[in-house]
Amino acid sequence: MPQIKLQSSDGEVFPIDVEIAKMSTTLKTMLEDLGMEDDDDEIVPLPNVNAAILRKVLEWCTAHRHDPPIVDDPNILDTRTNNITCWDAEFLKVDQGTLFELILAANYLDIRGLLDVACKSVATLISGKTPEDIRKTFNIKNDFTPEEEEEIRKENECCAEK
Amino acid sequence: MEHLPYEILEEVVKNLPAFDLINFCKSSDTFHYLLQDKNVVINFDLGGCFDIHKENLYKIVCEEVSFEYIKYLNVNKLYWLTLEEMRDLVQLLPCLEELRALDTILGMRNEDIVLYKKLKRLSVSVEADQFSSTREAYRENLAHLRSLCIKFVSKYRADFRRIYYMFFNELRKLDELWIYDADDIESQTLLRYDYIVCNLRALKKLVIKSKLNLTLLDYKPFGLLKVFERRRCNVTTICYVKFDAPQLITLRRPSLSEVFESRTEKSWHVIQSFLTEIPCNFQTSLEINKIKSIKNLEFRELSFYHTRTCNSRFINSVIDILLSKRSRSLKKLCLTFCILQGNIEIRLINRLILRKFKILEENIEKTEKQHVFRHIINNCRYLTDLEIVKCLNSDPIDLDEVSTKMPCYSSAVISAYDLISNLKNLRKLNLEIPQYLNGGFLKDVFLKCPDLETLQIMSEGTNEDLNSVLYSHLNYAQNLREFRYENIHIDLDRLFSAFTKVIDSKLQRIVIKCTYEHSNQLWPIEKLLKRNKNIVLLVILVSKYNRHQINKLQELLNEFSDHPAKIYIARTSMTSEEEIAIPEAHKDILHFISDVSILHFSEF
Repeated sequence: MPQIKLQSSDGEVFPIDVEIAKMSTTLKTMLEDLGMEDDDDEIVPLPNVNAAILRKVLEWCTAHRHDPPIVDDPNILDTRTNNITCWDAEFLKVDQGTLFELILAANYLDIRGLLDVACKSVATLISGKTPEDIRKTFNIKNDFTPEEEEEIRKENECCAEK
Repeated sequence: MEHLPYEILEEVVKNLPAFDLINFCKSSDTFHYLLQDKNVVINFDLGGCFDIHKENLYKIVCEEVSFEYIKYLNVNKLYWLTLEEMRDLVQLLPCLEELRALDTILGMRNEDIVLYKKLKRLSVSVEADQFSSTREAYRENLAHLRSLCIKFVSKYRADFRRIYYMFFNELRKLDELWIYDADDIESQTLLRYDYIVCNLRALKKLVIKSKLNLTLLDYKPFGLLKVFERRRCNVTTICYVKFDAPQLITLRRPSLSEVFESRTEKSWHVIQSFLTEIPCNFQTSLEINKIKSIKNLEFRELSFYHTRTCNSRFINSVIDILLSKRSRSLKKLCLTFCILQGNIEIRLINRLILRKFKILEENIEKTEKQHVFRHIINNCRYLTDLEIVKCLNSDPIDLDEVSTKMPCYSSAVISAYDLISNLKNLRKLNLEIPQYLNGGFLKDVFLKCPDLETLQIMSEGTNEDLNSVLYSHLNYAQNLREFRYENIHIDLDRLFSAFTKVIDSKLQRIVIKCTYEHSNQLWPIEKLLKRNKNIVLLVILVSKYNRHQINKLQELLNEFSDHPAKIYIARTSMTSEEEIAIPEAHKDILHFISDVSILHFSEF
């Protein structure tokens, strides 16, 4: 099995099978365009992904390497969050920071399956919560209090009059 | 969260039901633009969302959402919306292709069908008097319809034959049809489904559900093959799917004396021949019909609910299946006491357990004394829904003696309940509880299963220990939304006081049923309703209450029933007329009914 080496932002090198690397559309395109598939010594730097996250991403890719490719079918409304497989649910039981970093890494590497389940996992954190609960869960700052909103509106009105 | 790139935020929120999406966008001004995004609002799903009653739905959709992008709208079960509000909402959406409005006021009136002109997919509840349009009107307005889900809440009228068959005759392009005959009043109006089907030549899927007794329906001449059948509490659901002719011929049930590929495969066929229906859910059933084997399948739902006298062969096969690889991803499970008992041919089971979990030889003795439920939950650790119901495990030889029809209990059944709290992902728990089980396990369930949303408990006799556990620990169930409780005696004051202790309670639906209760002070209920504005259904049934007590309680409930969505009822018992008055959306929680491996019409 041909292998390539991926280097995380903090310098750690991960030798992996080309077959697994190709689950990432970004890497697949790069390997094909540059003709690097047979070159064992070449190291591919991934400046946007650190070692901890890259390890997690590769773990997911290894577990899902036999999955059929995702096909976009507008007729299938596959939007409910309950279709995360048990393995994925267990895999994504991580803290919020890691989850968001995983999403960003999956987006950067263009791994559609991982991006899908990670986004669904964030959606489960939102569902059933009030706006106040959501703010607490994700540490979102409430932009304006009603009084502030009123003040800004008045200021804007003044500006418009001028 | 705010720092995520736009396209990722879009990806996250497009997985959300509409009410959650609205709440998310309310959490920060920076997210508000998401409601204007075409990809996010295309599927606007409010199905079964009782919380939306606090908002003005039309105003939200009209003012905050880019409604012109909405293609799929689900308003199932929003029964409180008036006909005008509903029609305005549907009319507002220029691109609507799919409308799901089961158990709402919308129907098949003249004014309704003009709203369906562009729709390709429609689900709706209808009443007999709504069918007054002409053949031409149906043809013109329902011309684009490819999938229809129709629920007859009432269906009797003098000319029903002419009207209904004429209506279905105009829908010849349908490729999917779901019919639910929810009118259980016996009359001469039996719908002849074959009359309907014979004209719908393009039909690829047919689901029939009826509260009346369905005779054997065979649609093989129309190329439709039965893939799923479920009979529960007088309601029958049958699903047919279009198959190619060769497949129709090759499909047959293998004899149990045949050689099977694996033990699991054989057990599966033992179960199927015992239950006469397939224990898994519709989707899996469809897959089994396609590949004709359970090899490489993963079960999502399994129900072993049975009314027949069970035997050891069936129980052993169930345990085989539940301990197999096929059940590792199981989400929903319905078990009976006889399976929990699992001590029939215990050596055989233990050998299997040893093999599955590689338990050391010296532990055999210990394992034998334990019950099989521990191993089941070890294997099916991702369960979200669990039901435990009783089974009449009588000896088949003594069938004539009434005394042998006793429910079966053993220490294994009792101690199985203590293990439920190990299922950390539980969301729904339906339990029948034996009289001498003290209920202490519930405290652990409340503490260890943080996602628990629905709890339904039916106690077999007077169970005061169970009561006291609930009174003192119910406040730990922080995320409980639905609660149904049946016991001979319940102290309503203490029960409602326990509910009021929950901070930020999410309670939506409560059904309490008992024979007598002694306290009869009203302030705890008053306090509960004052604090929890989200409660949409509160049904209190106390059969020993006198008229004065009922009236007093109902008066209080009426004071708090300040919105058409809120249904607060106090009665001694529920007559069938009174039950009809309760919105269809709440009928699922009124009775203790098994909900695993059932095909719901809301899944259309």
